[in-house]
Amino acid sequence: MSTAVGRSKMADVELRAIAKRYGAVQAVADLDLRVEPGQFVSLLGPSGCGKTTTLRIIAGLVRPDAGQVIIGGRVMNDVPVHHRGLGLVAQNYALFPHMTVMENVTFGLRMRNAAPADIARRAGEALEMVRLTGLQDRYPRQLSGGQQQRVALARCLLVEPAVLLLDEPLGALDKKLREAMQVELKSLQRQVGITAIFVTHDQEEALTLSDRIAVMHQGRIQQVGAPHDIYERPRTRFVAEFIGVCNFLEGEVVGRQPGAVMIRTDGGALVAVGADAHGAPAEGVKVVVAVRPEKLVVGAPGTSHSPALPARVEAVVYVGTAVHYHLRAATGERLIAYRQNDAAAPVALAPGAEVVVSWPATAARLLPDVSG
Amino acid sequence: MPALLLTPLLVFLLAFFVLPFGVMLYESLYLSLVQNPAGSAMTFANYTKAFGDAFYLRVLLQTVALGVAVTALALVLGYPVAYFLARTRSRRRHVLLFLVISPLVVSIVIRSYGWMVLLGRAGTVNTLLQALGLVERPLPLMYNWFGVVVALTHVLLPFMILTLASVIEGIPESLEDTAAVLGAGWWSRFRHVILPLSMEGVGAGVTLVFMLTIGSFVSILLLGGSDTLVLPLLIYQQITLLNNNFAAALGMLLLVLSVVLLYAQARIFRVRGAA
Ligand SMILES: Nc1ncnc2c1ncn2[C@@H]1O[C@H](COP(=O)(O)OP(=O)(O)OP(=O)(O)O)[C@@H](O)[C@H]1O
Ligand SMILES: [Mg+2]
Repeated sequence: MSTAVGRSKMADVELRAIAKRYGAVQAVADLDLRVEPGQFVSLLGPSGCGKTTTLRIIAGLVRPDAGQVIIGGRVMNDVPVHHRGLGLVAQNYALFPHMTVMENVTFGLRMRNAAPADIARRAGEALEMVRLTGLQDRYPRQLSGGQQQRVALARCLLVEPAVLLLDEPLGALDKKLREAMQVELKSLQRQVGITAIFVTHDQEEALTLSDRIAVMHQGRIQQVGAPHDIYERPRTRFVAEFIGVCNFLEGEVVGRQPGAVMIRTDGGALVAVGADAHGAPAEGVKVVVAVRPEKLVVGAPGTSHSPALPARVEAVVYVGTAVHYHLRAATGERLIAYRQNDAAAPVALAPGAEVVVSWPATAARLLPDVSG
Repeated sequence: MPALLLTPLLVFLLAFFVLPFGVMLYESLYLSLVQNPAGSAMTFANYTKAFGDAFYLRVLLQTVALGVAVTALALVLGYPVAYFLARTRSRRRHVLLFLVISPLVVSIVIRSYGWMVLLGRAGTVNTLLQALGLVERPLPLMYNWFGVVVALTHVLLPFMILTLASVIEGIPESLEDTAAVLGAGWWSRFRHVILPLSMEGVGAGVTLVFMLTIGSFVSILLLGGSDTLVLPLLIYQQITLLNNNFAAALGMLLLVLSVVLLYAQARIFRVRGAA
C-alpha cells in the first residue's frame, strides 16, 4: 500500500556508548543499541531506569554526555532536533490544544513549507488511515483518548519520519482501549514499514508489540532479544523477574552431567538444570536457578520424575483461566506454580496438601548469582 | 453563610469606590464655581470642553500613546524573561524572581530619584558616554518622554513578567518538544505554539501595564518635563486651579479608557480551542 504516509525511509538507529548524568543520577550509562530498519523495538524497564532519557537523546531533545547517536548511517549528535526528521508520540499525546485536528496533523508539513495542495491531500489520506475522517475540524479537547492518540500518530506519520519514537503512548488509556490501540499501532507500523522505538514499563505490551525488546535497568541495557528469547532465556535475575513471574532457587553447582548441571539449593535440595554445551559453570560456583511458574509440575508425592522438591500447598488462588499454587518447599524456598484450568485438570489441591514439585531440566535457567 | 464573608469587602468597595465614583460622575456634570460663579444646571460642558479643545485632546492622545509605548516595551522586554523564569530548572530561580520584582521593593520616590541620578545631564549615563567619547555634549535623557518611558517601563515590568510567567508555566513543555521534533525551529515554536497559548497572559499583562501607565503620576511628575502632560497630571492641575468639576470629567475619561480596554481584553486575547 502506497499512501501518503506509506513512504517511510526505514532508517536504522544505532546508539554507541551513550551516557547521560543528571546531578547524582546516572540516567543512562554506557548504552549500546542497534535497531534494524523497519523493526519495532521496545525499551522496557521499571520507572526511572532511563527509558525516556534514552528516547529523548535519540530525538535530540537531550544532549548525551558521551556516545554517538547514528540514524540512517549519519551521526546525529550535532543535528538539532528540528532537523532530525523524526516522529515523536508522547505519553500525553501533546496535541496542540489551540489547533484543530487538521491543523495538528499538518503541523509538520507546514513547518516544512510544503505546498498547500500537497498538504491537504496527504492530510486527507492520513486521517483516513487512522480513521479520523470527518473529525478534522474538532479541537483536541473534543476528542476521546483513543482519537487523540490517533491524531498524534497521524501527525507523526505525515512527515514521513525516519524513525517513530513512542514514549508510553498508550499509558493513559484504559485496558480495553489500550489493547485495541496496540493492535492498531502494530498494524500501522507494519503497513508503513517504519522503524519504531517504543518505550514502556508494561512487559505484556512489550511482548505483544515488539520485534525485539531491550530490557533496561538503572540506565543500562540488561538484555536485548526477541520477546520469546527474553521470556524463555533471560540472562539475568532482573530480566527474569521483570518479564513475567519467576521462581528463583539460590544454590551452588555440585556436579555436571551431559546436558545438565546439578545444583544444591541453599535449602539443601538437589535439582538439575539443562545447561548449554558451553558456559556451564564450574563446581562450587554460586548460581540462581530460574523456573517459570507455568513450567512447574505439581503432583502427589512419589508420582513425578526426579529431581523433585517436596512441598506443601500454602494457598490456592483461582484466577479463572488458571489456578495459582503458592508453595513452600520442605527446604524452605517459596515457589509459585500455575496450572492451566483445562477440562482435564480440575482444581484438586487444597491448602495444606503435601505435594512434590518438579520440572523438565530444560525448562529451568541457570543465572549468575548477582543481586539485581 | 459564605456570602457573609463578602460583606466587609462589599462595604469597603461601596464606601471607597462606588460612592466616590458617584460623586465624581455627579460633579463632572456641573460647572465649577470658578467657571460659573452663579452655579449651573446639569450640563455636558466639561466633556465637550475636553474633546473640543485641541490642547486637551492632545493630552488625551499623549496619555494613550504613553500607555501603548510603555506596554509594548514591557511586553517585548518582559516576554523572554517570563519565558526563562517559567522554564528554568535552575536552583537560583528565586534569585531571578527577586531581581524581577526588585523595582517594586523600592518606594516610588526613591526609585525616581535613582533614575534622576542615572539620567541627569551630569548623571551616570551621560558621564559614562562622555568619558567613552561617544557623545560630546550630554544627551537629554530626562525631563522628557524618554525618561518617563524608561522609568515607567522599569517599575511596571514586574507586572508584565509575573503575569506572563504564570501563564507560560501552564503550557506543557511536551508541546514544545513535539513541535521541535516535527520540524519547528525556535521561532516557529514561539510563533505557533507558545505565543498563541500564552495569549491570555499577554492580554492580562498588557491590560495591567496599560492601565497602570495611564494612571501613573509620580514618575511622570519627577522625570517628565513641560511637554509630558498626561491625564493624571492634568487632573491634578485642574484640582489645584479649583476646577474640580472639569477634573472629574477628565477622571471619568481615564476610567472609561480603562474599562473599554478591560472589556476588549477578554475578546481580543483568547486562546483558540479553549473550553
Ligand atoms: N531533566 C531531568 N533532571 C534531573 N533528573 C532527571 C531529568 N530527567 C530524568 N531524570 C532522572 O533520570 C532518571 C531516568 O529518568 P527517565 O525519565 O529516563 O526514566 P524512565 O525510565 O522514563 O521512567 P518512567 O517509566 O517513570 O517514565 C530518573 O532517576 C530521573 O529522575
Ligand atoms: Mg518515562
